[in-house]
Amino acid sequence: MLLNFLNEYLSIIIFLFVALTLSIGFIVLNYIFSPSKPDPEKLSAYECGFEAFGDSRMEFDIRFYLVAILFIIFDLEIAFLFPWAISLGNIGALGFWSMMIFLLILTIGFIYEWKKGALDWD
Amino acid sequence: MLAHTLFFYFFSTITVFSAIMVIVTRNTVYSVFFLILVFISVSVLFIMIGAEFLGMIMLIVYVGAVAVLFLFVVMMLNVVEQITQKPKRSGIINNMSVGSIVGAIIFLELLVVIGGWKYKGTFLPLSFTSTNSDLTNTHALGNILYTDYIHLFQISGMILLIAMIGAITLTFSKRENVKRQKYFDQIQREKSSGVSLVDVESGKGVTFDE
Repeated sequence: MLLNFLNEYLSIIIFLFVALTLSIGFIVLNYIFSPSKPDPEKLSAYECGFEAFGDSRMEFDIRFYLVAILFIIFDLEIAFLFPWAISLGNIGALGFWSMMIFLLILTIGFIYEWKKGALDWD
Repeated sequence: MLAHTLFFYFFSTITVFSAIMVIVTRNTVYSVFFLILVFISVSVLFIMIGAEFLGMIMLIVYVGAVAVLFLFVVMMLNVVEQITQKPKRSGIINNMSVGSIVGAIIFLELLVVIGGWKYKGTFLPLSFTSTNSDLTNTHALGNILYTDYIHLFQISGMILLIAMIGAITLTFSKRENVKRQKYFDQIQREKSSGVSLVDVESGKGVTFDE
């Protein structure tokens, strides 16, 4: 049947369940056995003995977002590369060159962002 | 077969529960975490029906990139956790009316799709791909994506290019006053222009004339 290959995933499922049991077990045991007496003084932020002057959040730097978007673009390129690598024997020259054109298109974008300086962190 | 059914019910229960918790929870970051849990369990459900490429790509792209982008947006907007606010009555009525209309439309669409698939399966003929069940999902996709659907493939490449350029145009601003190295100039430096031997008298230093 189509689903015979699922036997291969059995070890992954067992791994997942052991990991879940261990991590949830740690948290639950901690919750059961630890003393918990919260107090407003204990929970407030420490700022050298004074009351907190304000919200301690910093402004979010946009560079992180740019890095994440560039990561997702090249991640999708890799996602296209996976089935191509498996079926390269069956698709012949047309399949090979279509992937080369796709990579060329994305390389043009890569050169653009490299020259623009978007890959420099500063 | 029993194990299959058990796993299906387990993971779909997690999916539905996490999807409800995405909108119920008050903390925005918890909401994104429950969304990640939805993605992971849907990915497992995809693997269970044999579409392992789709499941893995959902893990890589959805969890690894889209959920990360969600988290960045949450961090950027600095959404404060709403602890003590009681929901307003007018707000509930407005939101629930629009929400129930949208929900009813989606439910009707689901009925149409599932009913059509079950009772009139030959209405829309499947395309000319051969369903050879010896191939894995990835292999079968690869066989047709780069040859039969080459135009769509190239268009998706163009879309990725536009996304790259758009992201840089929108968010990138050149940093001023940053000293950078010029690698080619550094490597091409000759000994004649870089180093010179100077006779120094003792007690007197060397002066540079820049």
